[in-house]
Amino acid sequence: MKFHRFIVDVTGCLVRQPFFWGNVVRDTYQVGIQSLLVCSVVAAFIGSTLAVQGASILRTFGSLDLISIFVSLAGLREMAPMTTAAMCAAKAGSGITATLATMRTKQQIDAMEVMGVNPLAYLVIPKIIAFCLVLPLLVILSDALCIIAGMLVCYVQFDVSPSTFADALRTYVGPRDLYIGMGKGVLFGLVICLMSTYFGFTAGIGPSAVGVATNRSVIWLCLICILVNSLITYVCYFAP
Amino acid sequence: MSRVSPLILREYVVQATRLTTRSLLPVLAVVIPFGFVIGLQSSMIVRNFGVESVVSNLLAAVLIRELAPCLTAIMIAAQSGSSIASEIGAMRVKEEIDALVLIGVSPFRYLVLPRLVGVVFSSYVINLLAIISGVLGGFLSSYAVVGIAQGVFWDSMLQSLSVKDLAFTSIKSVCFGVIIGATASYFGMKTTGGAEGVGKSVNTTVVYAIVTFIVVNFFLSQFLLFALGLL
Repeated sequence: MKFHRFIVDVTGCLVRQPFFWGNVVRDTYQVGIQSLLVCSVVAAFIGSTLAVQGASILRTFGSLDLISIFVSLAGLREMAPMTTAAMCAAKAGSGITATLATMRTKQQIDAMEVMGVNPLAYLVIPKIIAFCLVLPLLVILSDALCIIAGMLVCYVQFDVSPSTFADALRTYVGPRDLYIGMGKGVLFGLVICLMSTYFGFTAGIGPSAVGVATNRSVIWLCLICILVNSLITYVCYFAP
Repeated sequence: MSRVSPLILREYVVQATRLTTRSLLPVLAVVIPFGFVIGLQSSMIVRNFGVESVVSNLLAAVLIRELAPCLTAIMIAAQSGSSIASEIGAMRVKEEIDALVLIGVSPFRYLVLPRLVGVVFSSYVINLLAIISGVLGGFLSSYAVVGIAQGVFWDSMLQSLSVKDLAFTSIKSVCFGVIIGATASYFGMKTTGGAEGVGKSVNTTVVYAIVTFIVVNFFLSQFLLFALGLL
């Protein structure tokens, strides 16, 4: 099955098939809870690393007071959305591929079809909705944690007061940045969900097939997420 | 000292080349656009202050100290890490590792060490290539899109580079390689429970490898910046 064929099938399902609300609730809970901890840890550490690195670079130019602007702009616009996407891809995305590939190997998906339940409508559509709901919220959470951690490191190590940070946030960061971040989140969710379910559905048979499918899914997900992030940044901030 | 058999030596070469060639393309595909965007971002910001020569310093510093090692590590964790975990996991599940032990071959020496060394090697090499291609991506945006003079760009970049930077990025990439290789082979060896288990151990490998190296990265940055007198 080719990827475009898969997307056409899924879109068809969205229109024609019955809707499984129970699965939406379950998947939203699972995706959110699974990715919450890793996303927060990674965002906090990325924020603090940004502060340290930014300070070392800005200090050579004798302008340490720009650190608050650097951390908030780099964190909000680029790093927080990207790391959220990468962690969700690694945790929830590859988990979904592993689960679906196992179901494929054990022929549970075929069994579903025999019972007259459309596996796309039952398994894929609820996950798409779950991802598109959860990822924007995770991006906002990562934004917040990234900036708080950066602020803390700046305060403890470089004596930059939190009020400087608040000023920088007020002047240089607008709601537009948050909206673009959330938009990125929705797009990431769509991409992660479609690709991870696709690789799960097209897995082969046997114990190594699950590993191979998961491997392929992770590498493509990370690649596409980082590229999509750069593309959206370019389109939203620099497009002529 | 026990004699190293040529079979095991061959395994080292095979794994190193395989892991490097497999991860090279994904890393470059990520780093070049990233360098492009960073060049753009920093040129736009720097232009407001009227110091355009700083762009290439900024680009080189950001790439060498942080972005190139981290992006390389993410992609290597996703590609090499997960493929190592799935290979070793599948061998464990099919009881091939038990068979190896039975015929007197140490799975640690024959399977784990060559892969570990291969990941460290590939992380080091790919990191250097990533820096070069990222700088080229940044050059493309700041020269062709923003219009910063070519001579200014390269001159100020070459002035700002030093041996310290090379040491910085090398230490980081080797550490990340060790983390990824160790995590992947550990979870691969620990796999239980058939096909489902292999998928699970690939999943945990990627998550643990990325989280660990990002946490380690913060402390490593702190330490190295202090040790090299850059902070």
